[in-house]
Amino acid sequence: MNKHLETEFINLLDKHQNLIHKVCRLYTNDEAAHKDLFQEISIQLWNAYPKFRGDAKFTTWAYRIGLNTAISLYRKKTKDIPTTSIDFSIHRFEYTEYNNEEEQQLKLMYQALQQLNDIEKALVFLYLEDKNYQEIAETLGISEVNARVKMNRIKTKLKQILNP
Amino acid sequence: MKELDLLKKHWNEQKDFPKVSKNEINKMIHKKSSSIVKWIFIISVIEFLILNLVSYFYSFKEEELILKGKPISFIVENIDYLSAAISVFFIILFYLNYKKISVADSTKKLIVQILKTKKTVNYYIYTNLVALAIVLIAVALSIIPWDSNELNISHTLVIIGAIIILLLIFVAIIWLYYKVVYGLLIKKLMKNYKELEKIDTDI
Repeated sequence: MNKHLETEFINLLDKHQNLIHKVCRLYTNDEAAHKDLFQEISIQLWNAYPKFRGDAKFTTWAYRIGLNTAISLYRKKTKDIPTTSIDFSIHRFEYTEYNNEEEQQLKLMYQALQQLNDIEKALVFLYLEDKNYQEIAETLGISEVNARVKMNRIKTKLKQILNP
Repeated sequence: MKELDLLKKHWNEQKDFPKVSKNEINKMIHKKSSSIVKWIFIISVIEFLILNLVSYFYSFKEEELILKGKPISFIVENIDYLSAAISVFFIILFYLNYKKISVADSTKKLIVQILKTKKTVNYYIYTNLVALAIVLIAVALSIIPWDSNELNISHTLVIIGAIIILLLIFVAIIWLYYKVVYGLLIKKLMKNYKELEKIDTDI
């Protein structure tokens, strides 16, 4: 692969790296795993980049590969220890702009997200990224109606986790 | 859901990520992938190599047996060609399926394609197991003296019993192997595939 393509890719990934970080934050529980997944997604993006066509948005293409890597390709190197790792992940967030009550709600919400399975996390990710149901359905390979119904069920599940 | 709205607001404002420099990105993209697909590819290639070695080994044995003139000898004599043809067929099929894996596809399509690629190797292993069974049965049939004067019932039963035990041992080894390999690699994929299937069937 030529140098020009490589520079172009690195610039794009650098510009949109927060998108990859968001995927990593949702699918990992500690810094080491976050870094590991970030690297794997970067490798997958780079390997697929020659086939990337400019007609699609780089971000659309990147979050699809990012989610696919997290869901289907990535293997955790060490076993998770949920109790300690969840605490760790919460401390990574900054809540300076939020008042105490909101801060607490956010903490609980992030904890609740950790209890969802890989596919449910992907749906929430796309929802948070403001994608419409057609795009969510296409990304996951399910029907649009079912994506909508599933998202409603996830909302109910999250409510139940927050208010048991 | 107000908590989700709050999360959405926070989600889009997140900027507290560790900054990865361009230099680090450059280093990262040149590292080797440790993805499940890569492991499946490596393990599949090893499986192809081992099975080809095994079939070479058992093709040696049959030459030492005197089977000439017996109808079953045709299968045993030609199993080398058959096995080579089967190997070539499966290796091509595996390669074509592997090349179709695209990380930019939808999640479901990607998982289906990965599982399909792995299944190609499984079918190759099953085919080899059947071929091995044919060879064993052929050898057994050639050992058993069919002449009614020489036919010894207890002797025959021992041979049949030995073959059944041998086949069961092979099946047990393969089953155990799959439990380990699938446990390590395919479990996560299967779980996520079933979850996607459930979304489209349960609703």
